Amino acid sequence: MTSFGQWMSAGGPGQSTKDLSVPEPAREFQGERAGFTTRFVAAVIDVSLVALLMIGVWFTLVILQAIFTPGVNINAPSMGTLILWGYIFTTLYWMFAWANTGRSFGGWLMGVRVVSPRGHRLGYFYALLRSGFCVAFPFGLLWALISKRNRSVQDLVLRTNVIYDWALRPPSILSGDSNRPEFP
Amino acid sequence: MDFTIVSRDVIVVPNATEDPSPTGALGAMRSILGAAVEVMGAAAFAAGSAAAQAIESVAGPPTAAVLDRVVPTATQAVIERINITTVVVNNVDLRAIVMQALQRLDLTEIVLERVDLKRVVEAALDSIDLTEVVLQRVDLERIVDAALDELDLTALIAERVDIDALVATVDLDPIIDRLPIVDIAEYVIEMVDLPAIIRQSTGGVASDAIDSVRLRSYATDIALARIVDRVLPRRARDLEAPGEPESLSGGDGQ
Repeated sequence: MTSFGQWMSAGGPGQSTKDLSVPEPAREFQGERAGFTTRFVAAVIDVSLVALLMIGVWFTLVILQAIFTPGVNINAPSMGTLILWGYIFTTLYWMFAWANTGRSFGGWLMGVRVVSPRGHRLGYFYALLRSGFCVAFPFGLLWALISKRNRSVQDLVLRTNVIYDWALRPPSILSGDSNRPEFP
Repeated sequence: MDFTIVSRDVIVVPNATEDPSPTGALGAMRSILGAAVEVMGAAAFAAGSAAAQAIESVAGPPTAAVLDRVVPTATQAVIERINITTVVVNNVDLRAIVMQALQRLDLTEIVLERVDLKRVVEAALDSIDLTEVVLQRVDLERIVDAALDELDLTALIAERVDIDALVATVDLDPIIDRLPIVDIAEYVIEMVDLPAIIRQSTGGVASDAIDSVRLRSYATDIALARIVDRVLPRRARDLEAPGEPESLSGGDGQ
């Protein structure tokens, strides 16, 4: 066991970049680029969440139509409209998620975070670009399978990274100028 | 040193009031000089006798009264005209006399018998600033080093010093102020992995399930990457992301 003197000699507090809130087996790979499977599952969870929401909206409208017919005439949106709204909602959802905490619900569940080329939080515009790109070309994630650095097409183009980050500590959002999100 | 001739028999009395340092060496010197003066007295006495014989040859057999008056006067006159010290120094083998005297005398015994050593020592100590002498003449560092080499100081303190009583008098507040309490706390937290303990004690099934899913997913990532890397002829992947994630670096954004 490391003595207190040895611990202090080695740098003391802050010597280790390992976050103690992360379970022991996972500390080693925190900060590394996440692989395809994890990112795919996170994306599927997010898309499923949005799909569930859209279905819920559609179902609610159908119920309302059934209840208030013939008094109220609510036309349930078509499938194409719903998918379009789903795309828009997903884009906005990912933008806010990545610009604020760096991860959506799926990302939190799978322990990954989207960061800028220097490892910081994305700015809103940057996050919007990425989320729009992801929604428009979801197959870009497949490149993470082949990429030597686990990068999707979106990551290659926008130079972003998706890393394993299980930490409970949220990134600093309300901080000074030095902590402003990057805006390339 | 002055000497006083009291009668025809030369009696030499050292004037002790003028030499108040009766050390052993001085006592010996006094004995030696006494012997020397005895010799001088004998010389004076011989001169006096010669004068008495001259008077006797001129004035006939002396009476005791005449001798009592004439001899001291004549002796005194001779002594005044002769530098006895010079005579002695030039004519007497003082060294032989002293050596003989020393052989005959047990000086140590005499000093022990005659000298009040306690007074002598006290007087010497009173007249000497012993501390100053020690500071000037004694190599204290060597003495202390030698003493420390001889002593097992740790054992001595453990045996002789009531450490508990000593520690009880210590004001701990300044010591605690100097201690890196926060560092110690962080050290303890890290060593016992307090977050893990908290997780184990408070974490529910859900957090365990999430951790398990994450770990399985990570393992799948690695396995899948290996398969792809085998198919594609290249080295292992470079997974180190530049910079540090905000959650790990405290969100400093630097």
